[in-house]
This record gives sequence, structure tokens and C-alpha cells, in this order.
Amino acid sequence: MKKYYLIICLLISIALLSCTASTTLESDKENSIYYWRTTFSLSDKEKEFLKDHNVKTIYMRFFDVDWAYPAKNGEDVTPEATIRFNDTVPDGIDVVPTVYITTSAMEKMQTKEAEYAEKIYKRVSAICKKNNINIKEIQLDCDWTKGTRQPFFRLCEAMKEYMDSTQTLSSTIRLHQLTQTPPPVDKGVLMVYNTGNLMEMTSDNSIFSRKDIEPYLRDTRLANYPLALDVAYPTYGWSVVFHPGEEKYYFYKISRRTDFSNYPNLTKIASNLYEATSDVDFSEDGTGSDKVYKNYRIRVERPSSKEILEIKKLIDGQLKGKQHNNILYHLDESQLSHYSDNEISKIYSRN
Amino acid sequence: MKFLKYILVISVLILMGGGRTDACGPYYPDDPNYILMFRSCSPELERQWQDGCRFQDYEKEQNCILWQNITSPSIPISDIEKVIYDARLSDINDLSSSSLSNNKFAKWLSNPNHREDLEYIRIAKEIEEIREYMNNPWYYAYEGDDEHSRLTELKEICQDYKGSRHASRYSLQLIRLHFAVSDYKSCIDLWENRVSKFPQNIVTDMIASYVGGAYSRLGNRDKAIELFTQSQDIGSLISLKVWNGVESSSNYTDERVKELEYIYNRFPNSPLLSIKLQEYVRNRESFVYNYEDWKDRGFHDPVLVKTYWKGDSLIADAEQAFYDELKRFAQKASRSNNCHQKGMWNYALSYLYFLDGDLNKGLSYLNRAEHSEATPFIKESIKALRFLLDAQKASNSGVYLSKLQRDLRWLDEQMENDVKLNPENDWQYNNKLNWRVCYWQDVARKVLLGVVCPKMKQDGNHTLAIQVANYASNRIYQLAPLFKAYHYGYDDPDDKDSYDVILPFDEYRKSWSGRNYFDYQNQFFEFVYNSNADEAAKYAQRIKNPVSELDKFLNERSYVDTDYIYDIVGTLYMREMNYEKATDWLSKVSSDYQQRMNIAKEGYFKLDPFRYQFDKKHFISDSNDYKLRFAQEMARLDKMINSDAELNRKAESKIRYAIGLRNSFGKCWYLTAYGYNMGWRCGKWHTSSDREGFKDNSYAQRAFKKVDALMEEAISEFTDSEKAAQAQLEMLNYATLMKQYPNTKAAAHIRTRCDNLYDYSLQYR
Repeated sequence: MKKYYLIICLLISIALLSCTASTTLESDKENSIYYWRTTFSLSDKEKEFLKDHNVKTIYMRFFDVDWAYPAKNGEDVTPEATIRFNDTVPDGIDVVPTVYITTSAMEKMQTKEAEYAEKIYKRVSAICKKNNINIKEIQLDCDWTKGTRQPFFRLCEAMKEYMDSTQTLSSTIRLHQLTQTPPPVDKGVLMVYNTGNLMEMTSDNSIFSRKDIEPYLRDTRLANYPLALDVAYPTYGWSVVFHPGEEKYYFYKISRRTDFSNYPNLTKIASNLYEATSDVDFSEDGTGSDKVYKNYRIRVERPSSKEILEIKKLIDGQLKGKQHNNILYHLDESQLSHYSDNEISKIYSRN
Repeated sequence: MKFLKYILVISVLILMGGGRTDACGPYYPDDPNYILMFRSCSPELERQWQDGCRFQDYEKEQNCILWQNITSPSIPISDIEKVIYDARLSDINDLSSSSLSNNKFAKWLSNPNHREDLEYIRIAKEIEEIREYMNNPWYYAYEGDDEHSRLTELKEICQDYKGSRHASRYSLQLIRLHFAVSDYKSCIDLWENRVSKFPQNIVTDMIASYVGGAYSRLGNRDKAIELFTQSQDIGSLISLKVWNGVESSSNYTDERVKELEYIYNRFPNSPLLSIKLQEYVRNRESFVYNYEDWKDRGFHDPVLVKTYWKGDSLIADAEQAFYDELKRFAQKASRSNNCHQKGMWNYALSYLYFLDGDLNKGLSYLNRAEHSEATPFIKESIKALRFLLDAQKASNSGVYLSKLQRDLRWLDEQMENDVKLNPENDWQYNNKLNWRVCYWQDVARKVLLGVVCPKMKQDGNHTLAIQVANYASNRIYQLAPLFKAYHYGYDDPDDKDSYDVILPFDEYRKSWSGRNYFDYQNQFFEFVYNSNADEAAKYAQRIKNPVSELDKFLNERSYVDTDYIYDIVGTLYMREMNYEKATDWLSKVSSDYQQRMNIAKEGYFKLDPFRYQFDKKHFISDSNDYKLRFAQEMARLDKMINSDAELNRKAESKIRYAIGLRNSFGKCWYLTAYGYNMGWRCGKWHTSSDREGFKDNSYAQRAFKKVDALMEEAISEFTDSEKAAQAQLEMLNYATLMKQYPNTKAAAHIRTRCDNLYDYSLQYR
């Protein structure tokens, strides 16, 4: 019997040793998070979150670049929804200006990439100067496909011309983009969210679905991806409302509400799907301003930490031996409240 | 026949299984009565006012004259305008550049002795360009940015200018810079201490306007009004609603008329009066049309008519009190000695009375307008109104016809001049059928299509009515023969790309792979389609054999492609079941032509019009001369029915004829029409195979009666039960077949077939 105890103790010790050797304690390292709102203002809880999870970098959406029709002052590609600072960035936190570029804007920028690189860089610099932000890194976010790949790559190259040698240019990398040559940037952030089709009723979860993600992780394309990658995981949720059509359900709207447990007129017909048996008014004042009607369906989408960690394990397996950070999308008290500190720490943990 | 407007694309759904429509269009021509014809100001003047409540042309001109005065009278104004208004700073820094190489003003500025002038222009351009950049959506301001820093430097340069030659101009730049940062006090100081002492000119007027704005913002309304009046800045005066309280003796109660009165009393010849007048009279014009439309629809859904409830009645808000006051004011204005625009006011009065339905009063004021002082622009508008009112009053007399001929020549010249004026304008190739961009084309459509043609038709002069309708609808394509077509990639199996292409209209009609959106949706087509076949045929003959100068004039300026016209005539004869004549006309239509039609492109010609039921297995392979072949076969069957003595053959002919006839007002509607209005009626979705869908079509109703009668006759006339059974089989009357002819080959065939048919066989074995 003693012999067995010895073996068990030995095994436990080995396991513990291996854990401490390969996992950095979350409290010891510096973490990152996205900030994707149009006004920068932090609640006390959000400030607390940054402190508790030792967040030292915020990837902050500065503005979108979109196709403007009709053109504004002669510009048909314009910055939109520029962030407004109602708060200062807490001390000790680096901001990575992030610019989201729509594909239609990318199409319009073709052949004028250098001109737009200058415009983007100048505007990012101006926002930073006004708000005392030191630029160490700039990130471009674009869902480029084969048609817009070359202009986006040219834009990245032109951006580098304006940045100095101490500054890093990064870009988001969507799962489908893993199959293609990486953009000419210094590093990438693999976006492991918004993986499914939001508008389709047949998607089981458009934010994060193992079914959608796994195909990209089956082979070694991530392991062999020739660009240093960090990984961004979703910590948000919403519900998608569909209305019935003759042959299928059609997208109606997105709602921030994800808890429907107290609505008797909503019948749960699948694990994350409800159907209205009669009209349901969610508006607090009963004005019907937020209403779903009979036969409408609501798909609740909020990835659980368990689902995230399962995928994280697969990704970490592929990125084994490659130093990488995990980033959360995104800083929002109401969204983060759905995850415990422990769960957040696990998502942040580096293996 | 309004449904014709909506037919072509909708009907695509019938055959192709539904679901395919164009993202935009097709576009339908407006009702010509809706065209707003009152015109007292040019679109350019209207645009200038809308852009900045100023008349930039006037300012530009005066400023350039001022430059000419201080430089050299030998420098053309246009050269000065090019440098002052069009050139960029980079051009000024390189005056020998190609864009200014032949410019006399640029040459003047290159002279070292004229450095002071050049320096000012440089400064002004730089300020202008920096401010322009600061308005660019990409600009993000922060304190101490390059733009702010440079503007501060430039401001200092302007302040430091000690000369007199450009003192007012540098002050203007300074005022603009102060105003842009809301430094109103500095604006006022500059004015009071310096600019107010300068001699008045267009530059000091522009400064006064800014300073008036500064006073207004700091609450000194009286001083603001004084400066706005001095600078003739009517836009700012209006924004202050200065007429409130000023015109205490005003006889008017409506704010809009008070405003007109205020402007008129101070600036009786201001172009703003023409802009305001156009807005008000056109609003009235629009109301009258929309009210008529609302009335026609039985007072349902007053979407475009402002209404209010009075007790239980819904009343249209005609703003009668306002228009009565406007007329009163116009009468006063037309009598004033200070006014050089009496013609405009009388023209407005004439139009307003005409819109009230008082044609005589309208004509009386028109007569006055024609004899009053007016600009050439207004004189042309008066002439257009004369054309309209004469048409309203006219009878189908020889006197009117000869006048019409003269008027058409004048109108045609106006249309042609419009095209010459703007050869590069977008409307040259954009959708001309609906965009009211060419005034004289609008006049032609409103007067000819809205008044002249219906009147001629009513008076029995069908042929001329159709001729005039063709001219009014199609002349524009001769004058501006380019069209911007959009190729929908999914429409064309050989060319999946989507793209825009500008091509001559003739080419568009003949070789464009996509749909022709025009020829079957214009008012000419609507007119001829609403005629009977003989009238249309008469028109077609008149194209070949014109009998008067007017015929020749109209034919030369209309779309008289014989394929197009003869196809319509043949189709109208088929609609009237006159297959003999249909054959005559359709035989003159080229085989190519039918393949160019939208229905051919959509694959409709694959359907065999003599099939009782359609399926892909029975698509016809050769669809050449589809309509002609149908007409010939129907004519042949007609003869057989009337002459064949063999009863079974006769009965078969009747059935075939009846099926063809039924289909020509059903699935093969394009044999008798140019569209089919598929849709909901009485809560039911009707397709073209549904008789209910042709409920409002009197030709179809007559045809259906004939179909039923022929079918009944044919069934009773069969003496050969095999042939009778075969006919029932083809018409899918399985129950009847099994019941009445159980021992025929057709019945045996049913027994060997699928379950559904087998049920019948069990029942009637």
C-alpha cells in the first residue's frame, strides 16, 4: 500500500511541478484588452478590472474608415465614429490605436493606399497628441479577402513608411485569413470571435462556435503561420432576433439583452434559442419600442468560459513554443460581469 | 392601363420561378401632369442661394472688376477669375505652369513690380487651403497643430500689412480668421477702427456681412441689420426675420409674403425674389396635381397633400389665404415703378390663376406679362406658359394646328439649345425619362403629353395624337443620344461582371444584352397601346406616307423604327383576335427584332403557346418569328374552323385554337400585351395562368368567352371517341376521360401511369 501512496504522491508532485513551470501566474504578467466604444470613459468597475487583471495595454478603436456616399468635402473614404475622450487613460497603461477599415473603404482606397496611409497615420497621431498618448504600436483591423488583400497589404507597407523604427504595426488576422500570406506587419492578433454568420438562423452561435473554429485548427496552418500572433477571445454576448419568412427566418435585429428566463411567452426550443408564443414587449416603459412579435425567434449568443477554454487549449497547442499573449474583446462592465475573475484569469493565462 | 408601367420586371417572376428582380429600377416615367413648369430662376441661381444664401456670381464678378481696376483694363475678367477663384496655391507658386501659362493676369503677377499683389494672393490662397483642409473629414484638431500654428502666423502677416492697396483685402482675411474662431469682438474692433473708414466696395461689403454676423451673435440686432442692409446680405437679413415689426403698416399677415415685401421694398430687383416666387408657385403646382391625384383615388391616403380635420371631414390644406395674399402682393409689385421685373410678377399671376382653374384670368395676366419688362430668361418662361395655356384652350381647329406646328419648331430649338449648352452634363446620358433635368423636355412632355395628345384623341384625331406623343417621348433620345446603361452580371450568362457603360441609344436598343427599360414604358407606348389596332395601323401607315409638313416634322424627330411600330400593331391585332391582319403586320417585323425584346431575353419564347400545360420538357427549340408563327397558326385554325367539313378535325382545330387563345391571355400574355400585372387581388395571388388576373382586361374577357364556347362546341362535335379521349387527355380532364371514354387508348394509357391517374382508372374501370 505504501508503495501506491508513494507513486500517487510522486505523480501529484510531477503534475504540480509541470504546472508551475509552464503556466505564468496571471497576476505576474501584463495583460491586454480591446476597447471598442465611441466614447472613452471608464466606470469604477472597469478601472478595477484593469487593475485586478494587470491590464497594461488597451487596444483602442480610434475610428472606422468607411466609404462615404455621397462624398464628404470631396472625400469618398472618410473616418467615421471617431472616439471621444471623456476620461484620461489610467497611468501605466499603453494604448494601441486601432483603426477598423471596412472592405468597401478598402476597395475605394485601391491605387491610393499611400495617400490614405498618410491620412490614417496623421489622424492617429493627432488624436494621440491631443490625448497625451505615446504611440508604440498601431493596429489595423480589416476583414480583407482575396479581392482586397493587395490594397490592404500596400496600405500596411505605406503605413510603415510613416512609423519610426521603435513603433510596431500590427493587424488583426481573421481565421479565414490564415489560409493566405500574412500581411506585411510586425505582428498579428488572431481574432477568435465573430466566426459565424450573424444573419443566418442556421448558425448556432455567430460570435464563437467550435463548429466554425475547429476546421481552421485541424491542420498545422496556425502552427506554421509565418507571423507572430497574439490571440483575442470574446468576452461579450448578445442575442439575435429573427422574424419568420415564407421559407426561412430572416435577421431582424441584435439585442443586448441575453437573459430571457423571466418571459413566459418565450419558449425555449433549443439550448440557446427561444420562440415567442405571443408578442413580447421588453421596453421598460411598455411603449413597445423594444418588442418581438409572435413566432419571432431569439438566438442567445454568449460564449461560456468553458467553450472559450476548450478552443484556447487547441490554439495553445498549435502555438506551443511561440510566445503569445491573450487579449480579451472587449472592455465593457456589463459584458465582463458574465465572467468570474477566475474565468478571466484562465482565459488570460499563458501556457 | 396604368398597370403597364409595372409589368415587365414583375412578369419575369412568372416563368423564372420568382425571386429575381433588379436592385434598382426599372424606372417609370412620371405622369406628365406632375411636371412642374413654372420657372422664374435658373437652377444655378437656386443652387447658389441654397449653398450659402448668397449670390456668388455677383460677388465674383464685382471682385474681379475691382481687381481689373487696380491692375490693368487689358486683363480679361475671365483671366482674373481663373487666378482668384480657380487656381490653387501651387499654381500661384508656379505662375508659368501650364494651367496659367496663357493667363494675362498671371503674367501681370509675374512682374517683380507687382509683388505686392502676388503676395496678397499667395496669403489668401494659403489661408483658404488651410481652412479647406480643416473642413476635411480627415482633419483632427489639437492645440498647436500645424494648421493652427500656420494660421496664427498668417494672421500676423495680415495684421502687419501697412499698405493701402490691399488694406481691405487683408482685413477680409483677418475678419474671416477671427470669425472662424468665434472671436466676434476682434471682428467688430477691426470694423470700427479701420474698415468702416475705407471706401465702400464689394470687399468692404463682404467684410460688413461678417461684422453684421458678429454683431448679431453678440446681441446687437439693429447694428447687424444696418450692416447686412449695407452689404445687401439678404440671406442674413432673412435669418434675422427682419420684417417682423419693421413693416408695421403691412397689409399682409402671412410671414412669407411679409418677407417678400421686405425684400422687395429694399431690393426690388433682387434675384432672391425670383427664387422665392418659384418655390411658392411650384408648391402650388405640386399641390394642385397631388390634390387631383388624391381625388382620383377617392380621397384615400393623402400622402402628398397636407390635410387637417374639420369636424368629421378631412380637408386638404390648400393654403388659400397665403396664395391670395401672394397674388395681391404680385399685383402690387407688377405695378411698382422701381421694379424691372414686372413681366415676372405678371407671369406668376397668370400661372397662379391658371392653377386656380381660371383660364381666362390666366390668359389675361399672360397677355400683360408678354407686354411687360422682363429678362430674356423670364420671357422664355412666359412663352412656355403661352404654349401651355393655348393648348388648354385649343380646339382641334386648323388654326390651332398651324400654330402648334410653329410652336413645335420653337420648342424643338429650345430643346436642342439646352443640349448644346451642356454637352458634358450628366443628364446627357443618365436616365432622361424620369429625371426632370431638361426644362424644355419637361415643357414638351407636360404640354404635349398632358394636354395636347389627350385633347386630340378626344377630338378624334388619333393619328396626330400618337405622332405628337411619339415626338414628346422620344425626341430627347435623338438630341442627347447617349445612355448610361448598367450591366447586371447575373442577367447575362456570357458576361457575369456588373458594370456601367455609356453607349449610343440606338446601340442600346439594338444590341444591349440587358433589358430595354424605355421603349415599352414611355407615354408614347402607353398612348398607342391604349388605341385600337386599326388606329395604330393608321399611324404606322402615316409614318410611311406622311401627308403634311407636320407629319414630316414629327416623323423626323420621333422613334419610328418599323420593327418596333409594326410589332405593336401586330400585337394589338392579336389582342383583338384578328389574326389575319396580325399576320400581315408581324410578317414585316424582322426576326432579329423579337429576339431583342425583353421577353425573348427572359426566355418566354420557349413556351409552346398551343400546350395546355407547360413544362420544361416541351420547350420549343426554334423561337424565331414566335409571334408571327402564332398568328399564322391561329389564322389557319380560324379558317379550318370555318371551312372544314370533317367534324373531328374541326373539333380538334377548335380545341387547338381555344388553347392558343387562352394562352395568349394567360401564360403567353406577351402575344397580346407587353406586360402582365401579376399580384394580389382580393386576397389571392394571381399568376398569369389565372383568369382572375385578367379581370380588368376587356379583350381577355371577350377571348375567354370564346375559349369556353369553342371548347364546349368541340367536345360535343367529336364523333371519334379516340380523338375525343385524346383531347380530354391533353386538357388533363382525366376524370371525364375515364368516365366517358373508358375503352379508349387514352384511358389505357392512364391506367399504366402514375398513382394519381391510376385512381381515376380504378374508379371508372
